[in-house]
Amino acid sequence: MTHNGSRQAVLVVDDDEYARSYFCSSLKLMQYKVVTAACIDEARRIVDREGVERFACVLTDFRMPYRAGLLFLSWIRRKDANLATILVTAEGEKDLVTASLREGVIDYLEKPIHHSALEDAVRRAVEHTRAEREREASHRGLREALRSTRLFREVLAPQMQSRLEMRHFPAHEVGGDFCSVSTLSPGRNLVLLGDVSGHDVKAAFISAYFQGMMRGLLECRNAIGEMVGRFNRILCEEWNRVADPSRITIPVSLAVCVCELDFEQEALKILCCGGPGVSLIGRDGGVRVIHTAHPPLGWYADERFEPARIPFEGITDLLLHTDGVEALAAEQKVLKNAVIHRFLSTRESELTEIEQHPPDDLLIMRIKVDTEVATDDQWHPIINEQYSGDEVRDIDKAQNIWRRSLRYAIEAELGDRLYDVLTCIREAMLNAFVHGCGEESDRLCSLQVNYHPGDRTLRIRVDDSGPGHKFDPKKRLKELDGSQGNRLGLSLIQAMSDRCRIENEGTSITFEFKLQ
Amino acid sequence: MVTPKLSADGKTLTCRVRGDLTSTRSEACAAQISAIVRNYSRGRWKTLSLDLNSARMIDSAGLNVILGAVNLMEEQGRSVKVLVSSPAVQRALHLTRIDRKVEIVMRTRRPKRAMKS
Repeated sequence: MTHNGSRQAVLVVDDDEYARSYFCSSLKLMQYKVVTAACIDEARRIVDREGVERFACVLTDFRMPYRAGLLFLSWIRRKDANLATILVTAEGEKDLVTASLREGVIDYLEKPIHHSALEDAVRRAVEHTRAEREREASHRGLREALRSTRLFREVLAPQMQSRLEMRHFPAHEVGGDFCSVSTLSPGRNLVLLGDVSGHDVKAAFISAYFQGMMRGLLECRNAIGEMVGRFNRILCEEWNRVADPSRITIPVSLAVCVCELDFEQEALKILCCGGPGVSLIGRDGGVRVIHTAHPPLGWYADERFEPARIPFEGITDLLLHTDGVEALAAEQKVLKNAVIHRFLSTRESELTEIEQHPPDDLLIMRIKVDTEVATDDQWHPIINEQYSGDEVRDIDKAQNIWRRSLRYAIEAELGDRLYDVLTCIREAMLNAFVHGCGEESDRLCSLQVNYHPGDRTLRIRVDDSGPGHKFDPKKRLKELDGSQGNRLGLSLIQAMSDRCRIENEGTSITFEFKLQ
Repeated sequence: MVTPKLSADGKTLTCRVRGDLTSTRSEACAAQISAIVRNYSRGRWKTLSLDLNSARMIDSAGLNVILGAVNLMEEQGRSVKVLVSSPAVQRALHLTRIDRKVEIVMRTRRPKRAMKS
């Protein structure tokens, strides 16, 4: 047996000494390391001793004493199915090819063998082994990453369990959306929600690296902005640096939302980079979206990150989600708050097939800040939208989306009142578009629709930026004698809803419907 | 959007309005009803029947179309009848007291039959 060096080698098995010598010298000329064996028993001993992974290719003669070459191929295949083998046959033994292919032989050489044919065959075999082993390693890595991802998904601080509601529908096994909730110190909790680009081992590694690094550093009382900035620089300068100036390197990016909840200080710190903002839900169902408007991590190394600091006052819940919510909302042609409400208020088993297998990873998290307010005893946002005055032209389209969103979120509760609700929303919005905003593109009005499950009440609020009015819709309704006239819409709202209130000199109208 | 039909006895001119009667369609709808009334003006029909059975909702602009039709018919010495099947439309007509000016005919939707096993 000859043995050259410690790198991956070509194993040559042939009982013909001249043939072995020819293969050995030819392959050495090609800069390969070569290990030779005179019979398959010797070859087995070598493989067992050196380890199959040491070899990148096996070149074996078919006709050898005692045992057939095909038996050896079968044995080596059981050892490593990715190791490419070349069968050397005598002239006229081509029929063997079919049988040998079943044993994983990727090529055969017919004696007499020319140097160039040997070179081509061995080069292909070595490349085949390398590619197959890489693929295998990648799959093995994915399986391991999947196991770790599952572990991470279950990492939730026990102190936060009663405050948390979460829906997570990953569309891929690894990478994509992730979250973790941990306790930094008594009364101080960290919530991380993110979406890493890609669904491979690298993506899984980066999300785990980020979670571990943030948790570790924040437990040591480091500042959120500084820690996120540090990770951003690692991504930009180490992971995303251009390795090959002749090729485009696709950068890895990470959209994250970092929330620190301090129940002792009754305050929040929020830092959003690239993803949707955090919605702060008030006692009245009002939604305030906090978005610190930073780019995703991995884009700009010199970005400075500064979290928003917000006191708990007036906040009942935080809503966090990844962009999968927007993707599903677009597919269902509804508004995103309707999706969030439906997912948080519906049992997983009652969701539709497409909801359980969304087009993109979907992760929604609700964190209760004020535990004195029960989930059933508070207002939940269904619609929270802003429109410009000139969007009055598209009111039919908007109405279609309101209708779909209401049905998507609370169809069972609406009963036969869907069109009463839509009529009143349309009237209030028309009033805001035309009278409040003067149909101007630079003037805005807002629509907010909230649902109170305990009271089974739907509350709609429309605000506009106009001068208001001193009009009394109740009086107008009493005066109505069958003649046409303006302001009939507000009277209609007053009459059709169960409660109606006009405030701020007519720039705000709030009305409610008691549902079944 | 609006299709006319004169009854066999010639007493009722029906205008069937397709879809919701709302602000974006109200002007066109009023114009089409006016044109139909003009075309049939020599007829001896006494009642204009506005068939809103396919409307799921009506807004204030749509209500104004009905009120406009009522005014026009009153001038011609004729009456208006409105056919509806949507509870939301019926409630809107009732709450705005239009049902005092016109006859409302509510078509009750039949419950869907259960599938035979």
